[in-house]
Amino acid sequence: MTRFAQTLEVARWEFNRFVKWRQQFIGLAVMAVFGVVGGMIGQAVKNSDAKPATVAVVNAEQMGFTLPTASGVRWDSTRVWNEVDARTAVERSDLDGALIIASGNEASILVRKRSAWTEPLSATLNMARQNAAIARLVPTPEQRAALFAPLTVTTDFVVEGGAAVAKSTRIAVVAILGLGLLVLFSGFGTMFIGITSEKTQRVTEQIVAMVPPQVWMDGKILGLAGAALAGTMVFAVGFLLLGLLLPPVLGMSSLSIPPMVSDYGTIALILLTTLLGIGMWFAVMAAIAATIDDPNSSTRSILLFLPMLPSGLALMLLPKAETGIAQLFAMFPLTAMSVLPMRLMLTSVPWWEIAVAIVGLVLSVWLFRLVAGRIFSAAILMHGKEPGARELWRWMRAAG
Amino acid sequence: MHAETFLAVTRVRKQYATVLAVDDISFNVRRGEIVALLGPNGAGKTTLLRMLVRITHPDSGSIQWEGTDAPISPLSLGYLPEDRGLYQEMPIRKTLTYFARLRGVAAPQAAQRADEWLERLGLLDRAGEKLGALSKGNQQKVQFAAAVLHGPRMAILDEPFSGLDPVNQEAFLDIVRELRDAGTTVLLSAHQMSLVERVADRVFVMHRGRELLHAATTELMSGGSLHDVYVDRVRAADTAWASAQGVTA
Repeated sequence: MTRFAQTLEVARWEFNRFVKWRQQFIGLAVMAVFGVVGGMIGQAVKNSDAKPATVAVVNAEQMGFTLPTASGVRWDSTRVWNEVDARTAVERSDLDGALIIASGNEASILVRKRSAWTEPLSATLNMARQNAAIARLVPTPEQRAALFAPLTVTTDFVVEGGAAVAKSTRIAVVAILGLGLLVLFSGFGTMFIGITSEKTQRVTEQIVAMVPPQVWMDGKILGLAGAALAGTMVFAVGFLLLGLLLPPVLGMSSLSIPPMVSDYGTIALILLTTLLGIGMWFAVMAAIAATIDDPNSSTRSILLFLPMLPSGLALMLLPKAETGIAQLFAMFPLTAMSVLPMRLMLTSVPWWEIAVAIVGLVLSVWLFRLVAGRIFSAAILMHGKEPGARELWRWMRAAG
Repeated sequence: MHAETFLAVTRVRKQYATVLAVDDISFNVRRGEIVALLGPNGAGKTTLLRMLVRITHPDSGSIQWEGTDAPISPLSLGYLPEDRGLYQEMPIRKTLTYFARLRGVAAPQAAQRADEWLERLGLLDRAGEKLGALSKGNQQKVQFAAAVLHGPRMAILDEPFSGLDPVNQEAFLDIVRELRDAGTTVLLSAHQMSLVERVADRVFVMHRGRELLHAATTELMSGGSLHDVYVDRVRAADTAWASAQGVTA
């Protein structure tokens, strides 16, 4: 049996150890139930807003424009209110509030306590006042249209390939990035358990008598990354289906699907970067997990959250995607998975930058899997104290 | 070197930090024989066996397979480690099939051999259960099957009888004999002298990492039971060692 065939066999085993299709679908069913319950609660909350606040208007004649229809507010027209009566009525909760007009430029809202409808009412009144003022100028329909017409601004590119990324492509990129990160974070646990559990279950010695440690580690990286990918895809597809199917049942508007992406090249590059990034981070995590003796007491577990750093960095660089430092981090293997897609989405990226990033990621996957294999090879029979940096370095050199 | 020598260990030494685990050990195992590796706890037996399956490596000395320095293929070896353990959450048949596949057995044959061994061990009706559902003794049976179901040329068994009831010890003894009859060379470590004397062709005793005794089983038993001979020799060695260290009883 070749090493490659053994690697695939280990990968298949690890994948099947952690991908439990039945549990995945139970998880989806639970998600659907929560979706239905959440939707029903949402609808109930929406309906509970149906009872508007009753508001009296004092000195309405000084307002200078017609009372507008305001969301969540019903104007009380049962009588003509003065300020004293309105205040008394509000204090006794006969009214929810009173709008007291001081002049055409000044008004106040009187309420018993802070209410959600006051701020939208202020905005509505302002809009109504502006419309009334414009109407008094008696503009023609053309003038009126010109007043509200937005300025159309287009961007032309003199560099070939510098066209802005379409909205649908951006959505696809964000989805790929999000799913990539979800794969990483959902894979933390399985990678951690997948490597340390054999030690606690005392399986290691039997396995390494059959396959070289590097083969076992490669198979684990492949199988566990595959398991995390499969779990995430089931979640994503399930979420999408629920988003499409549940709202009509609940009488809500469906999830809107953006038009087909047009920039397939960018999508393919980002997909490749994400997959290589996942492979690299799984190899890094495998190397860390291989140094852990007892997962219950090891302080190294915290290192498994390292991939959060490049994601945070990408967010920090979001407003500065065109700077030199963003370009540097886009080519640096540990941050390329997050920063390069961001730059591809927001700015023009030269071909050599993409090439450096991809080559760097490929080399990093290769290097980190070797490091993980060597550490694991030396740590097979390790029990008790975890190795320090100096000891790890000695192990890697000895294994070479 | 003897023409039938399958394994030749020559002046092998292994030190862990300040502990000299194996010190200048040499012995041969002939093709198709059963050799028992004996010794008190901490004598260095497990370290020696781990060096044979290349889990750890000697500091000096050589390990030759069939007269060459080239390492034997792991697929030709069957290894039952002292540290017992299998994937508790995985089904029994799947685990055995996986281990057979890793050792180069084609998928249909791997499943077939797994079933044959489970039937032999009386566990076929539980093949779909998770390993964690089995008793410790039954888990040991599965682990034994995992070590030899691919038909290795040599089986290295580290304390195969420990933790088993007398009936299952007898069953394992039969299996070891059958392996030998089928052409498999066997090297086993054990503490059950009454079992060893019934199955081993030769005995190699280690004490504090060094060779204490190496002889044919029948030759040793001319002076009494293997148990008595072993205990006498180990006690004598302990006394000599204590004397050399200046320790008084």
